[in-house]
Formats: sequence, structure tokens, C-alpha cells
Amino acid sequence: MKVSFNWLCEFVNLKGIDIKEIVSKFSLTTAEVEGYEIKGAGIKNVVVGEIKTCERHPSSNKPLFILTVDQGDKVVPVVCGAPNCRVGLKVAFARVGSCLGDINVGVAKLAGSESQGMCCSGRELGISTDHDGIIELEGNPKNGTPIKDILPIDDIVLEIDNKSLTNRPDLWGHYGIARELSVIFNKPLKSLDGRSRIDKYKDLPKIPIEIENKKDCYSYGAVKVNNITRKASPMFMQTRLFYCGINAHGFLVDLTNYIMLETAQPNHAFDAKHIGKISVGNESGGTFVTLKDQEVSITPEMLFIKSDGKPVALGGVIGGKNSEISADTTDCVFEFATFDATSIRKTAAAINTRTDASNRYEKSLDVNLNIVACERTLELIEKYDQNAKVVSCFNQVVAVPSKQIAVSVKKDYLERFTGAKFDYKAVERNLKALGFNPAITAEEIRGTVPSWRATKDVTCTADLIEEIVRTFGYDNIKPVAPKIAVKPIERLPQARLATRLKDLLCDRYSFDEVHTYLWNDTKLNKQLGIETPSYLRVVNSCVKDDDAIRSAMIPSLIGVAARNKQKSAFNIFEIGSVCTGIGKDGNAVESRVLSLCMASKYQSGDLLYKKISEIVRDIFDLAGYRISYKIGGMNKDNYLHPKNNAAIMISGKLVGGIGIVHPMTAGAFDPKMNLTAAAIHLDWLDGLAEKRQDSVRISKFQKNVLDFTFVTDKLYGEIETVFDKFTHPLFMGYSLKDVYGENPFSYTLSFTVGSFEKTLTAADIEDVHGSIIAHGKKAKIEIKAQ
Amino acid sequence: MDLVLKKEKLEAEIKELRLSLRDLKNVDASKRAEVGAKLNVRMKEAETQFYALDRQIKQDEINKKLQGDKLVDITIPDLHAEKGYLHPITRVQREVEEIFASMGFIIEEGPEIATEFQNFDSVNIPKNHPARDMQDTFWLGNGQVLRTHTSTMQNYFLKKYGPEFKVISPGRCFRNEAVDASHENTFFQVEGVMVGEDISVSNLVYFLKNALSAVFKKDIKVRLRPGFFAFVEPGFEFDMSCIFCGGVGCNVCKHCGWIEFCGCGMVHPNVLKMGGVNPEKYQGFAFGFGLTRLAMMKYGINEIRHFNSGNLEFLRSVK
Repeated sequence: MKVSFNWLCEFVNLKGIDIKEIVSKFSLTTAEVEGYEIKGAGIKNVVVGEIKTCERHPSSNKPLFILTVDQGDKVVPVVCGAPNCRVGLKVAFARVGSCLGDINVGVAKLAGSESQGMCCSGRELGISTDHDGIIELEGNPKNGTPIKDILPIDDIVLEIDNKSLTNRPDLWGHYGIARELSVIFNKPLKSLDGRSRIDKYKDLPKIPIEIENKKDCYSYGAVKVNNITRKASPMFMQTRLFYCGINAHGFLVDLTNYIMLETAQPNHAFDAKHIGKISVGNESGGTFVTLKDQEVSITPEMLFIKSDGKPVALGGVIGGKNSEISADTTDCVFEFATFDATSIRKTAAAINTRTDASNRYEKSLDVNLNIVACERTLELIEKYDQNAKVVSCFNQVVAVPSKQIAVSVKKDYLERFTGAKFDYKAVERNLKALGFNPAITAEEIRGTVPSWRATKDVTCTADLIEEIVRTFGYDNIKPVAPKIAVKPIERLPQARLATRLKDLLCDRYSFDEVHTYLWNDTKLNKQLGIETPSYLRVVNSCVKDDDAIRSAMIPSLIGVAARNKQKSAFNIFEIGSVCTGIGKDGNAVESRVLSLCMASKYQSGDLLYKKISEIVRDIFDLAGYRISYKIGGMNKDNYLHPKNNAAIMISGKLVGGIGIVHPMTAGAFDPKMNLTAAAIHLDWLDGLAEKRQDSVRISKFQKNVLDFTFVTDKLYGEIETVFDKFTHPLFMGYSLKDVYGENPFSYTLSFTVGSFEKTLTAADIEDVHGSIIAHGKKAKIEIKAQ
Repeated sequence: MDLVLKKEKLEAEIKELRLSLRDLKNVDASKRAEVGAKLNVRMKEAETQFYALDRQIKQDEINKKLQGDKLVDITIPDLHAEKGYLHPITRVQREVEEIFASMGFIIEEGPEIATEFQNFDSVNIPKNHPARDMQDTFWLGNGQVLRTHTSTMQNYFLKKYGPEFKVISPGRCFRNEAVDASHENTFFQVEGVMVGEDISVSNLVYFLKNALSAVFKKDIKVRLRPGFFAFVEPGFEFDMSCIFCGGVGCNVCKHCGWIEFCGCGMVHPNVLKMGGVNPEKYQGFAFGFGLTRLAMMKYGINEIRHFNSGNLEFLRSVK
């Protein structure tokens, strides 16, 4: 929001304070000032001039006038093209030697005639966009008077971050900002509480008002003024509005904008001839045309201002075409109302039109502002259009009066909560200036929330604390360590596992960690022929097409591999989330997945596959999990090799998958590239960690190793499954020693047998030996014939 | 004379001396002591000379070999070493976790898909609250959202660890906005919450100041400004002195000497209540800062899109 320093100074005298200090203190106390712009610095030596004579230039095709202008010290010849040149007009005159921004005004020849200076348009002075004619000065100022003495050209415009005002309805107008500055710099604030004009007209007839929807319309006030003949608004008003980002549109519109920027109260001017009995309520259907020519389909939630039952404005958002003021409007009904913030938000969103008014209403405004704004409106009309006549009293109907909220905080609590000490005299002064009407006792600070803060912003003790501390100065809070009991902190098992796996992959196996998006790369997956299900979609994504939340991680890593295809070999991994379905409660079932991918242009897919399977087995073994593979378990994934894929199992539970990436997929971005990948659901490992001994017992008696070679057409995984179940009192463990041959395969297994109590006898060994052979036989695994 | 020859001569003499000493018993008893002493003196001399010579010869040999040895250029790095790097985010995340863990904070991550309640209502952003507009949200088909902040975890932490605890929660967050050099729709945040009977704003300043000083390995000045976040009251914008210019003003800090670091404040009573913690008795602070942004500042990265690009060239270049 743009704020004019001049305008602020109308309410609080800040003259003489360095703007940098104002910016810094306001940012530290109230809201962020994003920057400021100094206005008018380029305008120099422009004075009030008077057109003494005015003649059409004889030799020009374009309308051009030869003037003589009294610039105070002398009368000079001037050539001017403005259509509104006329004798007696007081103009902003740029003398010879003056500056208009980049233009240095000198003696010039125009269409053969000498011109000593120029009459300025609003645009040339940088105070409006108007360049249709020259400025017409009012009030008969003395010729030669510096123009800056009568127009507020010199100004500083502060740009305040709107986001930091979201919670402050009172700061959406200059007066609220001025109030804050009056607290910060301890300067008196001009009061706007008067109602002398409203009271003056209180015996005039009322405009009938009825609030039908008392939930969404908090208050509605209206006053009628006839015979407003003034067309253009005064230059000071145009200048301030322009500096604040609003172009002039004529007196009536400018006035409503000016009042809004000053008081934060949105208001509206209807052409009185379209306004009869006012009611505020909903409509069941039909269409409504706004003054911006937008046709709106009426919904039952929309709140309308109606005249004799006919909608004339979409309450708090935008006026209607049918009651709009026009160039010849002289009789007006001014509206000052308050609406429910949520209702306004919904309506503005529904018609996709957010206005300065709706933005302010959405912040929850104070109903009392209606009166302030009306009083100021009448004041400005009386001052700038003496012909105007107020013909009604100000009728305000209030459905939801402002809340009386008492707040308090114990000094002791305040100091504990902030960790700071306070000067309570300063606290009292600040709260008073903020409007909290404070009472401070030895123990407690009490106050009532001013109506302009009581709509939502300040409701509880914490809010009062904020007011006290921010105005006292956050720099009074110093860093202090808390006094609390010390407790040992243990890392959660999932986090430890993730850390361990990442370190192993990086340090032991040279994998690079990457990050990918939570959604499928639809376009790339299509190119690579990857089909992967999605159980959840983003409904409003601004990332085109990529709206499907991923259910698998491997495709994401294949995507990364594709983007690094210029490299000849690399290993990558990520721990990320996937959504594997929708639960019974309707919520996403989210799972953390570790996914790995190995890529190489010079190693065969088979070799990489073997390697990645060993890495997965190894890192999980080191992390405490024993992995086995179920060959062919991932056949459903079309991006994996139809044969060389496997399910990853722990204790019989499926926890992931592994495989060579299908050559159709890998080959789609580089035919030489071999890819293998694996994915393990870390969230599915709960309770599957092996119970391993904390300390290994070593028998002092001799152990014996028995080697057996089994000949079978079974894969090793099946052999393992069988012998994992082998038990015998003297059996201590087994391992695979050698593999050779293919279909049938010969597996040599080494069994360790021994005892903690004795050295084994030949008979003991014979007994274990027999058991092992019998165990194999039961599963149809025969030992090799001797 | 040739050293080897000399050595051989001495060796022969020593052998002879040994024989003479052995035959000492045959010497006349009256002269035995004198002869024996003489022989022993000579023996000692010969042995000393022999060993010195022996060492000299070996030394000469080694010196000769050393002259022929090639210089090994260990300044050449391993051309075939394969290295894997943790993602820059992981590295900064671990640093932050270590610092906070050392100050007694629990570390716990949470899910990325959140319910509307978790993301908004539980942190005091009810339906139709304008604060919902401040977060461009990815809405999902089932009514859930991709969490817009790690504050989704506050309610969970209050219920799980309340009423007295301190915890940080790093994790991915999402904003539905166009991606450019400084905006990502997927980024990392760290949430911090501490609740107890006597937790104050000054404690919040203490922890953040210490954490930042530890991350940047120098004393970081900090300041609070008013800020609005629905889940805290009072709410602050937390600024740190510009790490690039030390506070004198530069392009990065827009010549003001300060960098906006994070939003924070005292946990809103409504948030405590929804988490089952009595705001009359307990209070606490919460903060949420951008881990991705911290990584950018720490490593001097000015292109946010690199992080999720999977570009190994970039990921390996961050040291």
C-alpha cells in the first residue's frame, strides 16, 4: 500500500524527522516498509502564472495559442497548445530557468514565435496522468507564488508491504498509519472523532434503510447530498490520489477514493435518482451487471444493496451499472457500510474481482468508521463545493455493534513471557495513544480494545502483550537461555536408519544423493514408456500436467538418470515420499521410500543388477535387517526387466522391489545406457529388525566346519529359505561358500558346528551331519553324490 | 681400500681372535692374564670397527638405491576415485539438527501430505481466514493438501510431547506457484517449537541466535520485527545481520544490513488449546525457517531450481 507523507502529516506532525528513521522505526514497530520514493524533487522554479492575453496562432494547423503570461515579476510571451487556454486562467507556469524533471525550460521558438516558459499539465508536473490540458489553479493565488506553496508536489511516498497488514484492518488508511506514527514518535494525533456535521443535519429526513441479512451486513449508513456541481476534484486531492496509485476520475469518484485511503472505510456514491428505499440482503437468482460491465450470475450467498427491492450494488465489492454516477450526476447518495469479512471474501472470489473495497472489508472493519468517513465526506464537500446541499440526515442502521473487549495482563506474566523489563510509564503512554484507555496498577495492566482493533485483531492477553512490547521496542528483548530440566534426547529409529543408509550409500558405495518431485513427470514417463499408477491428484496445480502424486520412486530416479545421460556411469539415490493409496479414513497413505539407481554405459545390466542387489543387501544388513529376494516379484512394473526383477523381502514381508530397468525405458534416452534400480519402503520395516546379540559369545572349545555340496535346479534363495529353518543343538550357523554350474546348480554350504560345553565327539559330528542331510532331503535338496 | 675387503679382513681377524681367546688356557699361567687382556681389547676394537663398517656398507647400498628411486607425485589426485555426495540440503539439515540436538531438541520429521486441519485449522487458520491466501496451496483430490509449511507438525508435537518439550522438525513443503530462479514449489523448512512453564520471547531469540551463529560460524546479530502469522501471538519477522557484508549494507541485503531469516513468535493460545496444552499455565515459542534458503545462503547458490534438478554436475560442485 502506498502512503503519502504529506497526508500523514495532516494528522500527526512529523516534519523534521528523517524519513529513514520513520521507515526504520515503523518497520520495527508496526509493519514492513518496502521502500520509499521522493516526489517532486525534479520540479523547480515553477510558479503561479496568469494568462493575460490569448490569441490563436495564425500560421499553425494545430490549435496553438500565443499567450502573454504574468509570472509575477514580469509578463512574458508564451506559445501553448493546451485547448483550455483562456484569459484570466491561473496556471502552473514553468519560467525560463525552471525544471520539469528532465526538461530544463529555456527560451524556445515554436511555430516561428518566441516562447519564454510553458504552462504545465498535471503530467508535466508528475502529479497526474492528465495531459489533455493545462492545470487550472483555484482560489486566485498571487502571481509568482512558488507552485509548491499551493500544491503538495513535494512528498515522500512510502510503500508498505500489504502482507504485513493482513491482520491490521485499521492500517488500510492514512489515519491508522498516522496513529501508529504518533505512538512511535510520541507526537499528538489530530482527532477525527467529531460529528458536528452529522449532528447539524440530524433533523433532516432519513433515507429508509433495512438490513435483511443481519449476519453478513453489520451496519449500513447513507446520506444524500444534492446539487454537487463541481466536476474536477481539487489539485491537492488529485495529487495525493495519484501518488497513492489512483488516477483522478472527477470529483465524486475521487472523493470516495480519498475518503477510503484516508479512513480505511470503503464507501460508494450512487446517483440519487436510482435510489429509493434501501435494503441489504440476498437474491435468489438472475444476473447483475457491475459498473465494470461484468455480468455476474447471482448466487444465494451474495449480498446485495437493493433500491426498492432491485439490486444496485454487490455489497462491499463493487457497484452496479444501473446506479452508477455519470458525468451529469449532481444528486448523490453516499454509502458507508460494514460487511462480514468472510462473506465479502467469498463473493469477491466467486466473481473473481477483488477491489480496493473488498480487500479492506476482508480484513474485518470497524462499524464506527462509517461515522468518521461520513463526517469527513461532508466536510470535504462543504469545503470544495459550496453549491452542494445536504438533504438527508446520516441514517446508520447497525445490526452487529462493535464488541467491547477488556484485556489485561499481569506485569509478572508479561515479564516472564517476554524475558524483558519495562518502563510502565512509557507502556501507559503508548497504550493510551493506541486507544486502549489503559489502567496500570502495581500488579496489572488493564485496557479496553479500541473498536478499530476489536474486530478480530486484538482479543486476548497475548495480543495485549504484543501491543505493549512492540511499542516499547523489540530491541529491549535480549537473548536468554531458559532454565529447564535437562533430559536425554534419543533420535527416532526411522531418522537413525535414514542417516545410516545415506552415509553407507555415499561413503561406502559412492552414490550421489538427489532430490526429485513428489509428482510424476508425466511427459517424461510417457516418452520413456513408464506406466505407474497414481492414487491422488493435485486439483489446482500450476505445474502443467504434473498433477499425479507418485506411488513409486524408481520412475523419479530414472528421470534423473535421463537428465544425466551425458555421463558414462553414476549411482544415485533418494529418500522421499510416495502415496501408495487412500486409506479407510479417506486420507493418503504416505510412505518414505529409499530408492537407488545405478547407471553405466560400460557395465552390463546383469553385472549392475548383481551389484545393486549386493549393495541393498549389505546396507540393510549393516543397518540391522536381513534381506532376501523373491525373483520375479516386480513383474507388474512395466519399466522393469520382465525376468530380472525381484521383490525385496524381510522376514517374509514385502518391503520393496529391485530390477534391471527395462531396455525399452533405459534405451529411450540412450541405447548404451544400462540401468538398475531398487526401492525399499522404510516405513514398512517397523519391527522387522533382526534381534542381534549385543556381545558375541565365543566357545573355548574347538568348532568344526562341515561342507556340503547340494546339487539342485533351485535358485539359491530357495536353498536359503530351507536351511534358515534348520535347527540342531550343536548347529551354530551356515554360509554359502561356493556356487558353480547352472541347471542344476551346485551350492557348497559351510556349516559351523560346536558346543559351549565340550569338544565334539565323532558321534556328535555324525549326528549333526545326518540331520543336515535329512533336512535337505525333506525339501528335495540332495547332496552331491560322492 | 675397498670397504668390503676391509670388512672381510676384520671378520677374519675376529675369527682368529676368537680362536686365540679359546686357546688362552694353553698360555703360560703367569702371562695368561696379560695376554688375555690384550686380546680382549683388540677384540672389542675389531668388533666396533666391523659393525661400523657393516653399517657403512649397508648405508652406501641404500643411498645408491635411493638415488635411483622415482619421485612419487602425490600432488596428482586419484583420477579414478568414485565419490558420492550427500545432497546440499541433507548436509545443511544435519548441521542444523546437530546444533539443535546439542541444545536438547528432539528431532522428528513428518508426512508431506497433510489434512486441511493439520495445515490450517490446527495452526489457527480457520476456513475463510485471509491467512489462507498467503499460502498458495496444492489441493488434492481427496481434500488433503501438500503441506505448505512444517507447522503442520505443531499440533502433533503438542499432543505427543506436551506440555513441556522442545523439538525441531525439518522437511519438505510445497507452494503452488510458478518456479523461477528464486521460487520453488518444493522446498525444505525447519519447524521449531518449545513449550514450557516459563518460556519467553528472549529464549526464542537465544536459540535462533545461537543456531545461526553456529551455522555461519560467526557471531550473528539478530532483531525482531512485527510480523503476522496466524499461529503465533505476538508474531515476529526474525532478521539476521547480513552475512555477506556484516551489516554495513550490500546488494544481498538491499543495503539495509539485515536479511529476513524467518517468521516466529509465541505459540498462539488457540494452537496450544487445540494441542491439549493449557495456555494459562504453559507458553512457548515456534519458528519456521527455510532450510533451502539457508543452504543457498551458506553455499552461495543463487538458483533455487538446482536443488530438485537431479543435476549431478551441480550437486557434486557444492562442497
